[in-house]
Amino acid sequence: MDHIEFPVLGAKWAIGSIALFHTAVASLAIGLAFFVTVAQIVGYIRKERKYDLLAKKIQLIHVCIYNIGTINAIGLVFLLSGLFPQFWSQIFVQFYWSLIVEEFLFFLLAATLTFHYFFWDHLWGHKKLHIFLGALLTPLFFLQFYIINGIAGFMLTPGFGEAEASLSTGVLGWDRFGFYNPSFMMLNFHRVFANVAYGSFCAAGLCGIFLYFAKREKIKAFYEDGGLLAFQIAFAAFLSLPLVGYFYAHILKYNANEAYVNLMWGRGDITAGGVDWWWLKHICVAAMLGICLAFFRKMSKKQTVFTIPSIMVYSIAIFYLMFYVAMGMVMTWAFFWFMLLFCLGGALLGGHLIRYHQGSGRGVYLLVAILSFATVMLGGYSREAARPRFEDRIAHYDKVFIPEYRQRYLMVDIDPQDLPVVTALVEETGPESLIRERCVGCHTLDRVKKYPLDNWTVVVRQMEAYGLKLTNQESRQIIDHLKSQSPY
Amino acid sequence: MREVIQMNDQHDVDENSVSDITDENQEVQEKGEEGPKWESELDSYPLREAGEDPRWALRTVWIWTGFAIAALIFILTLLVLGAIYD
Amino acid sequence: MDLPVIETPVAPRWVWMEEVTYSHIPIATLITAFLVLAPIFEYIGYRLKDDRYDRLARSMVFFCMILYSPGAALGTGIPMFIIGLWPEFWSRWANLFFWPLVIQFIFFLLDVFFLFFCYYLPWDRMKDRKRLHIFFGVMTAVFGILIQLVWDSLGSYMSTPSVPLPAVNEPVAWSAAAFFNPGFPFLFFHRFFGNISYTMLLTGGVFAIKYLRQKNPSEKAYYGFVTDFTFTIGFITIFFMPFIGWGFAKILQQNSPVIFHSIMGGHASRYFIFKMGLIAFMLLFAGGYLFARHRNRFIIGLMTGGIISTYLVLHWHPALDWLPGGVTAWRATYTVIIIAFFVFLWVMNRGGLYDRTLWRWAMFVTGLAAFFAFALGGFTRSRARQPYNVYEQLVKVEVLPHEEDRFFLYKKCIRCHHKSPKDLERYEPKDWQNRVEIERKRPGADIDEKEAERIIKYLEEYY
Repeated sequence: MDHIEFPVLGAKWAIGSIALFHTAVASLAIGLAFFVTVAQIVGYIRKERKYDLLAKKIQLIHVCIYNIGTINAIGLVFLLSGLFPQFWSQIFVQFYWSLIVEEFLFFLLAATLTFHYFFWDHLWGHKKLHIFLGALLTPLFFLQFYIINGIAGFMLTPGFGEAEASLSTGVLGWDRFGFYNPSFMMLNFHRVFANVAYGSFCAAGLCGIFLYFAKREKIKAFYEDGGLLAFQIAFAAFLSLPLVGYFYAHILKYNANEAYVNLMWGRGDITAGGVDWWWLKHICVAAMLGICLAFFRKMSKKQTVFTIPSIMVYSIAIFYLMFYVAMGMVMTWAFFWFMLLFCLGGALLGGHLIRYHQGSGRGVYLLVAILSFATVMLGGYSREAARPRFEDRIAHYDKVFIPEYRQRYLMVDIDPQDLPVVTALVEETGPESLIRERCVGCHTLDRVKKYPLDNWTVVVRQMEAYGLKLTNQESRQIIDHLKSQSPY
Repeated sequence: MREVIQMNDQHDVDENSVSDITDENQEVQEKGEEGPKWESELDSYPLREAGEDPRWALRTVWIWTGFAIAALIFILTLLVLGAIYD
Repeated sequence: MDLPVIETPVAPRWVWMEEVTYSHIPIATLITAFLVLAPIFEYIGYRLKDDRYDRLARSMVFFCMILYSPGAALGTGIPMFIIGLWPEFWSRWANLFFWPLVIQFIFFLLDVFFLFFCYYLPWDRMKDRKRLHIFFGVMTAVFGILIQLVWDSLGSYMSTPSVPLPAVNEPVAWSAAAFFNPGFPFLFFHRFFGNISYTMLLTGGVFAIKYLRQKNPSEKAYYGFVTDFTFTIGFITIFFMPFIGWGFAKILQQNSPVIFHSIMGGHASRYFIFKMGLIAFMLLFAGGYLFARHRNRFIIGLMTGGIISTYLVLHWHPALDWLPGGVTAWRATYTVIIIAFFVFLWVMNRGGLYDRTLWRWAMFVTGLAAFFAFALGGFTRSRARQPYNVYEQLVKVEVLPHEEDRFFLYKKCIRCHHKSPKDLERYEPKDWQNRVEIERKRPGADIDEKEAERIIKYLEEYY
């Protein structure tokens, strides 16, 4: 099969560049929308115009970049259509209705954003309504994200094979098991917090840039205070990311093992150009952690409005030290030492920047915004690079996109008798599988194995009283098996 | 009754602002320079009477907000149904 | 052969497609036209040192800013719907036009960049650098037009495909012959002038209502001024349309004759006739108002010239058989109406008449008529192309037998000796068996037994 070739970059990098550009812009839009709402609420509660004015300025930037993001998305659609036609047709048809809802959300967001910004000064008599309108952007963005993450997650962890079963019932445009695939929720958590962090860090970064040019004290105070608020929001969201990332990696280990190995061992495109881009992302994260902790430690001395008390700063530092020790144990100690080194380096750099700018956060805001941008780019790149490469422009990951089946399936008139027969998953039966599957709803199997007594009838009845649902036959099978001390 | 909230000039500037307040010389210098147009807007939080808002803007926003909430509920319903049905 | 399609709930897929398209097209056309005109108005204001033009230009650009985001979001819906509902069509079409689509995306980015960051946001800051500012406006307009250019090429290909639609796995990516297909320049100019005309008429109509509502005298004066200005531009631009439309119809007749016949007397003709009716309404009311309003001989002369040119196009058009008395009656009737209209326009009292409330509402209604005339254009086009997605290349999956038979009838029977499907109404169902047998004997009529049966069956049912 011949393909359209993209000159110079090649198809992979052409899609990659547009996708990364889209990520940079779209993720920023989501984060900015959240920050704008928080800033408006803070301004309303404190009756301080500076937060409202900053929110308005940020929202104008948001309006501009939203358009760029939308246009970029459609560029991505055109490139995918032309460069990866089979993949695109298949995934589009498979998740069609999700994409249509996504498109509807695009429009809702665009119109809501437009009304919110352009009617800003017309609604001072209905400020709460105006703030609510802006606040609507957050759940709408979340939903838009939710949908695209279902599809994105499917590309990496196609699921339990039931995706094929869904497809075999006909081309419906909705694939429940494909959508709610194993990595879906972790990708959601990760991206939501990452976008809030990235958007707010960038809002703070913008304040930092303006601080370099501001001459008047009032203006400086405006950007300083606004930047601090944004930085605070960003840091709070940022703190969740390493933890969410750990669980995300856990899911990948069991459901997308090849991608997991590529990431953790630095294989394939993860190390394109001789640099481990995944590792580099973590270095940036560690540096950001160090800089932020140093910054808030300094700020806690000043007792500004939005700040973290020093005891909390130290607690966070200790918590993350323990987290990275745990990561060192799970991964490699080199990882731990690198993280510690860059964290401490970041802390020193952060302290220096604050002293150099005589207590102003401008340097810190700007540097962390740049690092945040880098982590978003590196994260997005790593995810795509980790996934096994397409062969001949056809995805071979897992069994779902088997080209011979998919191509024929989508290219012929549908006659139900001609549908490819999909072998359903073999369901295990017997008491062993019953115990393994049903007895782990509330506790692990260890507890069952370590139980010293022999009164299994009483125990199983107790479990049923606590909520375990078993038929009489299943109950009997489990009790008999446990009493016989047979392995499970 | 809504009032325009005036910023208190003594409003915690020294304690709450992150930047150090500079000396008098700089303040005197600033009075000669022109700041951006929106600088004066920082002094007030201009809430006003509900009736002072233009009706066309209010009507548009109410209609749109209603539509957006209805759409949100609709989409959530679709997601819930989609989680249950194939 | 088409790829399997997803069934849409509530309404068939073409209805969804029309809804999505019609949600985007009015916004896109308005933005394109406004962005072309805004720098021109700004330049006029700069040369005449008249702030009213600058205010008008700025408000138009501001309106574009508000509409841009929702318009772009709706625009993304069009390919989304096409990809899912017509997957084979999209794959093959996007394959043939891959590079134009990629370049169009770059034009879009540049358009947004110039509009937001160079034209609208720095408007006040650049008041002392007007020429540069106008240049940025021109760049915005240029990229907007280039975007339209690409989509008009893709759109016109569907009706006048100059090269075969490639297979899904036959990568083409670019074809000059496909891009510069026969219908392309006509569709582009038709839409270019059409957009300016309908948007200015509609804008004039809206300004007319705003004029009525103003209490402040200076605001009232401003709105009175912009009403006349925009309405005049909209009216004068209409007169390009009959000529462009004539050329468009000619190209269709030569390259896609079944589409031509569908519009001219066939199943899509009722929409076209209704559109013409709306245009006649617009000419009457808009012409009447502007003649009453303007004293400037040049403008009056332009409008007179425009109406005369419209008469000429009517005269070139084959006479219609709508009136008792046939061809002569038709020609005589429209000649009398147009002369009477002229007499009325030139002779009527032009003093103060235009300022009446009724005239303002008439302008608003005229603007709406212009909008609906524009909307009907796209609808007529897509109905006329049925049952094909791409003329004679890719038929729609849900094609009905009677649509196939109708296409076959137009192709086999209308081209040679009947001028239009309307001519078929002369006969009765009982006549068709004989008529078809007679026509089959004509030299060049290559109709076998099965085809004859199909034609007779269709004619007996529908004529």
